[in-house]
Amino acid sequence: MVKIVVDSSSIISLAMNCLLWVYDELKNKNIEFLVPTSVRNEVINSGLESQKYKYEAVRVMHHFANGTFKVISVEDKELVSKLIHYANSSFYIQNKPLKVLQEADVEVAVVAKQIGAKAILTDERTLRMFLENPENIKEMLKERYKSEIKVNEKALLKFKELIGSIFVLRSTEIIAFALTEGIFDPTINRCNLESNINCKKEIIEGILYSLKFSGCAISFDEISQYIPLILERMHK
Amino acid sequence: MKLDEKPILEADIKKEILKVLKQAVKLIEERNSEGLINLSHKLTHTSSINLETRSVYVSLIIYSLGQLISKALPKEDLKKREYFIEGVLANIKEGIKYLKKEDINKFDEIIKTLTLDISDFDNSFTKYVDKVLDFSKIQQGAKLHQHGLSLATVAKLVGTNEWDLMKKIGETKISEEFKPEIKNIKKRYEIATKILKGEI
Repeated sequence: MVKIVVDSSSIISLAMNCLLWVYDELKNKNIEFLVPTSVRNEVINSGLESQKYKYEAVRVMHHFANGTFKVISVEDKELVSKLIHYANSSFYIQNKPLKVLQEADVEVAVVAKQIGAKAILTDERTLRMFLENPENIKEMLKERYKSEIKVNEKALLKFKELIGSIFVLRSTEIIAFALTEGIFDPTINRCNLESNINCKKEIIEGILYSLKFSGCAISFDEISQYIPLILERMHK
Repeated sequence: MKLDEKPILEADIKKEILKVLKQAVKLIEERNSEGLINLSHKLTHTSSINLETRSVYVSLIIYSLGQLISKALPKEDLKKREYFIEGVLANIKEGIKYLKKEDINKFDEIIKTLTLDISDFDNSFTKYVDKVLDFSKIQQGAKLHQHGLSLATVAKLVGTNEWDLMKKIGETKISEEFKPEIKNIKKRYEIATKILKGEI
Protein backbone atom coordinates (compact mmCIF):
# COMPACT_ATOMS: atom_id res chain seq x y z
CA MET A 1 0.00 0.00 0.00
CA VAL A 2 1.36 3.43 -1.00
CA LYS A 3 0.82 5.96 1.77
CA ILE A 4 0.25 9.61 0.94
CA VAL A 5 -0.41 12.28 3.59
CA VAL A 6 -2.91 14.86 2.41
CA ASP A 7 -3.08 18.56 3.25
CA SER A 8 -6.29 20.62 3.38
CA SER A 9 -5.48 22.50 0.15
CA SER A 10 -5.54 19.33 -1.99
CA ILE A 11 -8.86 18.21 -0.54
CA ILE A 12 -10.36 21.65 -1.11
CA SER A 13 -9.18 22.06 -4.71
CA LEU A 14 -10.50 18.63 -5.76
CA ALA A 15 -13.75 19.17 -3.84
CA MET A 16 -14.33 22.51 -5.57
CA ASN A 17 -14.05 20.75 -8.95
CA CYS A 18 -16.24 17.73 -8.12
CA LEU A 19 -13.17 15.49 -8.41
CA LEU A 20 -13.12 13.85 -4.97
CA TRP A 21 -14.21 10.57 -6.62
CA VAL A 22 -10.67 10.36 -8.10
CA TYR A 23 -9.37 9.68 -4.59
CA ASP A 24 -11.81 6.73 -4.33
CA GLU A 25 -10.57 5.32 -7.63
CA LEU A 26 -6.93 5.70 -6.58
CA LYS A 27 -7.66 3.99 -3.27
CA ASN A 28 -8.73 0.99 -5.37
CA LYS A 29 -5.27 1.14 -6.94
CA ASN A 30 -3.65 0.57 -3.55
CA ILE A 31 -3.05 4.18 -2.56
CA GLU A 32 -3.90 5.11 1.00
CA PHE A 33 -4.72 8.75 1.75
CA LEU A 34 -4.00 9.78 5.32
CA VAL A 35 -5.24 13.04 6.76
CA PRO A 36 -4.02 14.53 10.07
CA THR A 37 -6.83 15.26 12.53
CA SER A 38 -6.15 19.02 12.46
CA VAL A 39 -6.44 19.05 8.65
CA ARG A 40 -9.72 17.11 8.71
CA ASN A 41 -11.17 19.51 11.26
CA GLU A 42 -10.03 22.60 9.35
CA VAL A 43 -11.52 21.44 6.05
CA ILE A 44 -14.83 20.16 7.41
CA ASN A 45 -15.51 22.63 10.22
CA SER A 46 -14.65 25.75 8.23
CA GLY A 47 -16.61 24.43 5.25
CA LEU A 48 -19.68 23.70 7.37
CA GLU A 49 -19.56 27.20 8.86
CA SER A 50 -19.67 28.76 5.40
CA GLN A 51 -22.91 29.05 3.43
CA LYS A 52 -20.91 28.86 0.21
CA TYR A 53 -18.95 25.68 0.97
CA LYS A 54 -21.28 23.83 3.32
CA TYR A 55 -22.27 21.21 0.77
CA GLU A 56 -18.67 20.71 -0.36
CA ALA A 57 -17.76 20.02 3.26
CA VAL A 58 -20.54 17.43 3.45
CA ARG A 59 -19.20 15.78 0.31
CA VAL A 60 -15.71 15.70 1.84
CA MET A 61 -17.21 14.03 4.93
CA HIS A 62 -18.55 11.28 2.68
CA HIS A 63 -14.99 10.38 1.66
CA PHE A 64 -13.95 10.07 5.30
CA ALA A 65 -17.01 7.91 5.96
CA ASN A 66 -16.27 5.57 3.03
CA GLY A 67 -12.69 5.13 4.21
CA THR A 68 -10.95 6.84 1.30
CA PHE A 69 -9.49 9.41 3.70
CA LYS A 70 -8.16 7.96 6.93
CA VAL A 71 -7.69 10.22 9.90
CA ILE A 72 -4.36 9.92 11.64
CA SER A 73 -3.11 11.55 14.82
CA VAL A 74 0.30 13.08 15.27
CA GLU A 75 2.34 11.10 17.75
CA ASP A 76 5.40 13.29 18.03
CA LYS A 77 4.02 16.62 19.23
CA GLU A 78 7.51 17.67 20.26
CA LEU A 79 8.70 17.36 16.68
CA VAL A 80 5.80 19.58 15.55
CA SER A 81 6.84 22.25 18.08
CA LYS A 82 10.47 22.02 17.04
CA LEU A 83 9.66 22.32 13.35
CA ILE A 84 7.35 25.28 13.96
CA HIS A 85 10.09 26.91 15.98
CA TYR A 86 12.75 26.42 13.30
CA ALA A 87 10.48 27.34 10.38
CA ASN A 88 9.27 30.47 12.11
CA SER A 89 12.75 31.62 13.05
CA SER A 90 14.33 31.00 9.64
CA PHE A 91 13.56 34.35 8.03
CA TYR A 92 13.87 37.80 9.55
CA ILE A 93 12.48 41.07 8.30
CA GLN A 94 13.28 44.28 10.16
CA ASN A 95 14.90 42.08 12.82
CA LYS A 96 11.63 40.26 13.43
CA PRO A 97 11.08 36.57 12.68
CA LEU A 98 8.45 35.90 10.05
CA LYS A 99 5.94 33.38 11.37
CA VAL A 100 4.99 31.65 8.16
CA LEU A 101 3.78 28.19 9.23
CA GLN A 102 1.12 26.88 11.61
CA GLU A 103 0.80 23.54 13.39
CA ALA A 104 -1.56 22.12 10.78
CA ASP A 105 1.01 22.79 8.02
CA VAL A 106 3.81 21.03 9.83
CA GLU A 107 1.64 18.13 11.04
CA VAL A 108 1.28 16.94 7.44
CA ALA A 109 5.04 16.53 7.15
CA VAL A 110 5.39 15.04 10.65
CA VAL A 111 2.72 12.41 9.96
CA ALA A 112 4.48 11.56 6.69
CA LYS A 113 7.69 10.99 8.63
CA GLN A 114 5.83 9.05 11.34
CA ILE A 115 4.39 6.47 8.92
CA GLY A 116 7.30 6.48 6.46
CA ALA A 117 5.25 7.99 3.63
CA LYS A 118 7.21 8.84 0.52
CA ALA A 119 5.19 11.91 -0.32
CA ILE A 120 2.81 14.51 0.94
CA LEU A 121 0.03 15.97 -1.16
CA THR A 122 -0.38 19.74 -0.95
CA ASP A 123 -1.51 22.40 -3.40
CA GLU A 124 -0.24 25.16 -1.20
CA ARG A 125 2.94 27.05 -1.90
CA THR A 126 4.40 27.83 1.53
CA LEU A 127 4.96 24.33 2.94
CA ARG A 128 6.09 23.11 -0.47
CA MET A 129 8.70 25.86 -0.64
CA PHE A 130 10.00 24.86 2.78
CA LEU A 131 10.30 21.23 1.74
CA GLU A 132 11.51 21.76 -1.82
CA ASN A 133 13.32 25.01 -2.18
CA PRO A 134 13.69 27.09 1.00
CA GLU A 135 16.31 29.32 -0.67
CA ASN A 136 13.54 30.48 -2.97
CA ILE A 137 11.59 31.77 0.03
CA LYS A 138 14.25 34.42 0.66
CA GLU A 139 14.00 35.68 -2.92
CA MET A 140 10.22 35.68 -2.79
CA LEU A 141 10.15 37.59 0.51
CA LYS A 142 12.75 40.09 -0.70
CA GLU A 143 10.67 40.81 -3.74
CA ARG A 144 7.44 41.04 -1.80
CA TYR A 145 8.63 43.19 1.12
CA LYS A 146 11.13 45.27 -0.89
CA SER A 147 13.34 44.90 2.15
CA GLU A 148 16.46 43.01 3.25
CA ILE A 149 15.73 39.49 4.44
CA LYS A 150 18.04 37.83 6.92
CA VAL A 151 18.18 34.06 6.84
CA ASN A 152 18.92 32.07 9.97
CA GLU A 153 20.80 29.31 8.15
CA LYS A 154 21.10 27.21 11.32
CA ALA A 155 17.34 27.17 11.86
CA LEU A 156 16.70 26.36 8.22
CA LEU A 157 19.23 23.54 8.29
CA LYS A 158 17.71 22.15 11.49
CA PHE A 159 14.27 22.19 9.85
CA LYS A 160 15.65 20.29 6.86
CA GLU A 161 17.48 17.77 9.06
CA LEU A 162 14.44 17.08 11.21
CA ILE A 163 12.03 16.66 8.34
CA GLY A 164 14.32 14.73 6.00
CA SER A 165 13.46 14.18 2.38
CA ILE A 166 9.77 14.10 1.46
CA PHE A 167 8.52 14.44 -2.10
CA VAL A 168 5.73 16.96 -2.62
CA LEU A 169 2.84 16.00 -4.87
CA ARG A 170 0.14 18.42 -5.98
CA SER A 171 -3.37 17.53 -7.03
CA THR A 172 -2.22 18.10 -10.61
CA GLU A 173 0.22 15.16 -10.28
CA ILE A 174 -2.58 13.03 -8.82
CA ILE A 175 -4.83 13.92 -11.74
CA ALA A 176 -2.05 13.32 -14.29
CA PHE A 177 -1.51 9.88 -12.79
CA ALA A 178 -5.26 9.16 -12.76
CA LEU A 179 -5.54 10.16 -16.43
CA THR A 180 -2.69 7.90 -17.51
CA GLU A 181 -4.07 5.04 -15.42
CA GLY A 182 -7.34 5.18 -17.39
CA ILE A 183 -9.45 6.51 -14.53
CA PHE A 184 -10.94 9.18 -16.79
CA ASP A 185 -11.55 6.84 -19.75
CA PRO A 186 -15.35 6.62 -19.18
CA THR A 187 -15.49 10.45 -19.11
CA ILE A 188 -13.46 10.63 -22.33
CA ASN A 189 -15.64 8.00 -24.01
CA ARG A 190 -18.84 9.83 -23.12
CA CYS A 191 -17.34 13.09 -24.39
CA ASN A 192 -16.42 11.38 -27.70
CA LEU A 193 -20.02 10.21 -28.18
CA GLU A 194 -21.35 13.73 -27.87
CA SER A 195 -18.81 15.84 -29.67
CA ASN A 196 -16.12 15.93 -32.32
CA ILE A 197 -13.62 17.88 -30.21
CA ASN A 198 -10.33 16.36 -29.06
CA CYS A 199 -11.84 15.08 -25.83
CA LYS A 200 -8.61 13.83 -24.26
CA LYS A 201 -6.84 17.14 -24.71
CA GLU A 202 -9.85 19.24 -23.67
CA ILE A 203 -10.39 17.16 -20.53
CA ILE A 204 -6.72 17.34 -19.51
CA GLU A 205 -6.62 21.09 -20.11
CA GLY A 206 -9.95 21.62 -18.43
CA ILE A 207 -8.98 19.81 -15.25
CA LEU A 208 -5.48 21.29 -14.94
CA TYR A 209 -6.70 24.85 -15.42
CA SER A 210 -9.64 24.42 -13.09
CA LEU A 211 -7.28 23.12 -10.38
CA LYS A 212 -4.99 26.09 -10.94
CA PHE A 213 -7.91 28.50 -10.65
CA SER A 214 -8.96 26.74 -7.46
CA GLY A 215 -5.65 27.62 -5.83
CA CYS A 216 -3.33 24.74 -6.80
CA ALA A 217 0.21 26.15 -7.00
CA ILE A 218 0.98 25.31 -10.62
CA SER A 219 2.11 27.85 -13.21
CA PHE A 220 0.73 28.33 -16.72
CA ASP A 221 4.11 27.22 -18.05
CA GLU A 222 3.98 23.96 -16.09
CA ILE A 223 0.45 23.27 -17.37
CA SER A 224 1.54 23.79 -20.96
CA GLN A 225 4.34 21.26 -20.40
CA TYR A 226 2.00 18.82 -18.70
CA ILE A 227 -0.64 18.61 -21.44
CA PRO A 228 1.52 16.96 -24.19
CA LEU A 229 3.23 14.78 -21.58
CA ILE A 230 -0.04 13.36 -20.27
CA LEU A 231 -1.37 12.91 -23.80
CA GLU A 232 1.78 11.00 -24.77
CA ARG A 233 1.52 8.74 -21.71
CA MET A 234 -2.18 8.11 -22.30
CA HIS A 235 -1.41 6.79 -25.78
CA LYS A 236 1.14 4.26 -24.48
CA MET B 1 -10.76 36.67 14.44
CA LYS B 2 -10.08 37.72 18.01
CA LEU B 3 -8.17 40.73 19.19
CA ASP B 4 -5.05 39.88 21.15
CA GLU B 5 -5.98 39.23 24.74
CA LYS B 6 -3.13 41.28 26.15
CA PRO B 7 -3.75 45.03 26.00
CA ILE B 8 -0.20 45.59 24.80
CA LEU B 9 0.86 47.16 21.55
CA GLU B 10 4.48 47.46 20.50
CA ALA B 11 5.61 51.04 19.97
CA ASP B 12 6.42 50.66 16.25
CA ILE B 13 3.10 48.93 15.49
CA LYS B 14 1.21 51.61 17.44
CA LYS B 15 3.04 54.30 15.48
CA GLU B 16 2.17 52.60 12.18
CA ILE B 17 -1.52 52.14 13.10
CA LEU B 18 -1.79 55.76 14.24
CA LYS B 19 -0.23 57.01 11.03
CA VAL B 20 -2.58 54.91 8.92
CA LEU B 21 -5.68 55.92 10.91
CA LYS B 22 -4.86 59.62 10.55
CA GLN B 23 -4.46 59.19 6.79
CA ALA B 24 -7.71 57.20 6.74
CA VAL B 25 -9.61 60.08 8.39
CA LYS B 26 -8.49 62.42 5.63
CA LEU B 27 -9.39 59.93 2.89
CA ILE B 28 -12.81 59.20 4.41
CA GLU B 29 -13.55 62.92 4.59
CA GLU B 30 -12.67 63.12 0.89
CA ARG B 31 -14.73 59.94 0.22
CA ASN B 32 -11.64 58.64 -1.58
CA SER B 33 -12.37 54.92 -1.97
CA GLU B 34 -9.27 54.11 -4.04
CA GLY B 35 -7.04 55.90 -1.56
CA LEU B 36 -8.56 53.91 1.31
CA ILE B 37 -8.04 50.58 -0.45
CA ASN B 38 -4.40 51.44 -1.21
CA LEU B 39 -3.87 52.60 2.36
CA SER B 40 -5.17 49.30 3.73
CA HIS B 41 -2.54 47.45 1.69
CA LYS B 42 0.20 49.43 3.41
CA LEU B 43 -0.73 47.75 6.68
CA THR B 44 -0.38 44.31 5.12
CA HIS B 45 3.41 44.41 5.59
CA THR B 46 2.99 45.21 9.29
CA SER B 47 0.35 42.53 9.72
CA SER B 48 2.38 39.83 8.02
CA ILE B 49 5.55 40.57 9.97
CA ASN B 50 3.99 40.99 13.38
CA LEU B 51 0.87 38.81 13.07
CA GLU B 52 -0.73 41.62 15.04
CA THR B 53 -4.50 41.25 14.91
CA ARG B 54 -5.11 44.94 15.61
CA SER B 55 -3.30 45.96 12.45
CA VAL B 56 -5.27 43.27 10.57
CA TYR B 57 -8.55 44.67 11.96
CA VAL B 58 -7.63 48.26 11.09
CA SER B 59 -6.60 47.19 7.61
CA LEU B 60 -9.91 45.29 7.15
CA ILE B 61 -11.96 48.27 8.37
CA ILE B 62 -10.19 50.67 5.99
CA TYR B 63 -10.48 48.28 3.06
CA SER B 64 -14.18 47.69 3.79
CA LEU B 65 -14.84 51.43 3.98
CA GLY B 66 -13.13 51.87 0.61
CA GLN B 67 -15.42 49.20 -0.81
CA LEU B 68 -18.55 50.67 0.77
CA ILE B 69 -17.78 54.16 -0.50
CA SER B 70 -17.16 52.88 -4.03
CA LYS B 71 -20.47 50.98 -4.19
CA ALA B 72 -23.09 52.37 -6.52
CA LEU B 73 -26.23 52.68 -4.42
CA PRO B 74 -29.81 53.70 -5.10
CA LYS B 75 -30.65 57.27 -4.04
CA GLU B 76 -32.52 56.23 -0.90
CA ASP B 77 -29.46 54.35 0.39
CA LEU B 78 -26.99 57.16 -0.31
CA LYS B 79 -28.29 59.25 2.61
CA LYS B 80 -28.10 56.22 4.87
CA ARG B 81 -24.49 55.63 3.82
CA GLU B 82 -23.50 59.26 4.44
CA TYR B 83 -24.98 59.09 7.93
CA PHE B 84 -23.16 55.82 8.55
CA ILE B 85 -19.80 57.15 7.34
CA GLU B 86 -20.04 60.19 9.60
CA GLY B 87 -20.56 57.82 12.54
CA VAL B 88 -17.58 55.74 11.50
CA LEU B 89 -15.45 58.85 11.18
CA ALA B 90 -16.33 59.93 14.72
CA ASN B 91 -15.45 56.46 16.02
CA ILE B 92 -12.09 56.41 14.23
CA LYS B 93 -11.20 59.83 15.67
CA GLU B 94 -12.13 58.48 19.11
CA GLY B 95 -9.94 55.43 18.48
CA ILE B 96 -6.98 57.65 17.59
CA LYS B 97 -7.40 59.48 20.91
CA TYR B 98 -7.38 56.23 22.90
CA LEU B 99 -4.40 54.91 21.03
CA LYS B 100 -2.44 58.08 21.71
CA LYS B 101 -3.32 57.75 25.41
CA GLU B 102 -2.15 54.09 25.31
CA ASP B 103 -5.64 52.98 26.39
CA ILE B 104 -5.56 49.77 24.38
CA ASN B 105 -8.69 48.30 25.98
CA LYS B 106 -10.77 51.28 24.87
CA PHE B 107 -9.09 51.21 21.44
CA ASP B 108 -10.02 47.52 21.08
CA GLU B 109 -13.65 48.34 21.95
CA ILE B 110 -13.74 50.96 19.20
CA ILE B 111 -12.27 48.52 16.68
CA LYS B 112 -14.85 45.87 17.62
CA THR B 113 -17.67 48.41 17.33
CA LEU B 114 -16.46 49.56 13.92
CA THR B 115 -16.24 45.97 12.65
CA LEU B 116 -19.75 45.15 13.88
CA ASP B 117 -21.14 48.42 12.50
CA ILE B 118 -19.69 47.73 9.04
CA SER B 119 -21.10 44.22 9.10
CA ASP B 120 -24.57 45.41 10.26
CA PHE B 121 -24.69 48.25 7.76
CA ASP B 122 -23.70 45.95 4.93
CA ASN B 123 -26.30 43.37 5.98
CA SER B 124 -29.01 46.01 5.89
CA PHE B 125 -28.90 46.30 2.11
CA THR B 126 -26.61 43.58 0.77
CA LYS B 127 -28.40 40.29 0.55
CA TYR B 128 -27.24 38.52 -2.54
CA VAL B 129 -23.66 39.58 -3.13
CA ASP B 130 -20.53 39.03 -1.09
CA LYS B 131 -20.57 40.99 2.12
CA VAL B 132 -17.97 43.74 2.25
CA LEU B 133 -16.27 42.51 5.42
CA ASP B 134 -16.04 38.91 4.20
CA PHE B 135 -14.79 40.13 0.83
CA SER B 136 -12.15 42.28 2.56
CA LYS B 137 -11.00 39.33 4.69
CA ILE B 138 -10.46 37.21 1.59
CA GLN B 139 -8.66 40.01 -0.30
CA GLN B 140 -6.41 40.78 2.66
CA GLY B 141 -5.89 37.07 3.29
CA ALA B 142 -4.65 36.54 -0.26
CA LYS B 143 -2.28 39.50 0.14
CA LEU B 144 -0.89 38.02 3.36
CA HIS B 145 -0.42 34.65 1.65
CA GLN B 146 1.44 36.47 -1.10
CA HIS B 147 3.73 37.75 1.65
CA GLY B 148 4.76 34.18 2.42
CA LEU B 149 2.37 33.17 5.20
CA SER B 150 0.76 29.74 4.87
CA LEU B 151 -2.96 29.38 4.22
CA ALA B 152 -3.58 28.07 7.73
CA THR B 153 -1.71 31.03 9.25
CA VAL B 154 -3.64 33.52 7.13
CA ALA B 155 -7.04 31.90 7.77
CA LYS B 156 -6.46 32.14 11.52
CA LEU B 157 -5.16 35.70 11.35
CA VAL B 158 -7.93 37.27 9.29
CA GLY B 159 -10.73 34.99 10.46
CA THR B 160 -11.71 33.48 7.16
CA ASN B 161 -11.68 29.92 5.82
CA GLU B 162 -9.25 28.10 3.56
CA TRP B 163 -11.99 27.41 0.99
CA ASP B 164 -12.47 31.08 0.18
CA LEU B 165 -8.73 31.69 0.31
CA MET B 166 -7.94 28.89 -2.13
CA LYS B 167 -10.47 30.25 -4.60
CA LYS B 168 -9.05 33.76 -4.30
CA ILE B 169 -5.44 32.57 -4.60
CA GLY B 170 -6.38 30.77 -7.81
CA GLU B 171 -7.26 34.17 -9.29
CA THR B 172 -3.86 35.68 -8.44
CA LYS B 173 -0.37 35.30 -9.90
CA ILE B 174 1.02 33.68 -6.73
CA SER B 175 1.66 30.32 -8.45
CA GLU B 176 3.69 32.01 -11.17
CA GLU B 177 6.24 33.29 -8.62
CA PHE B 178 7.42 29.92 -7.31
CA LYS B 179 10.54 28.29 -8.71
CA PRO B 180 10.17 24.61 -7.86
CA GLU B 181 13.21 22.47 -7.12
CA ILE B 182 12.26 20.03 -9.86
CA LYS B 183 11.69 22.44 -12.73
CA ASN B 184 11.44 19.72 -15.32
CA ILE B 185 7.81 18.62 -15.39
CA LYS B 186 8.71 15.30 -17.04
CA LYS B 187 11.10 14.46 -14.20
CA ARG B 188 8.56 15.53 -11.57
CA TYR B 189 5.86 13.47 -13.24
CA GLU B 190 8.10 10.41 -13.44
CA ILE B 191 9.04 10.58 -9.75
CA ALA B 192 5.36 11.12 -8.84
CA THR B 193 4.31 8.11 -10.95
CA LYS B 194 6.93 5.86 -9.38
CA ILE B 195 5.84 6.91 -5.88
CA LEU B 196 2.15 6.38 -6.65
CA LYS B 197 2.87 2.95 -8.16
CA GLY B 198 4.92 2.01 -5.11
CA GLU B 199 8.09 1.61 -7.16
CA ILE B 200 10.13 3.94 -4.93
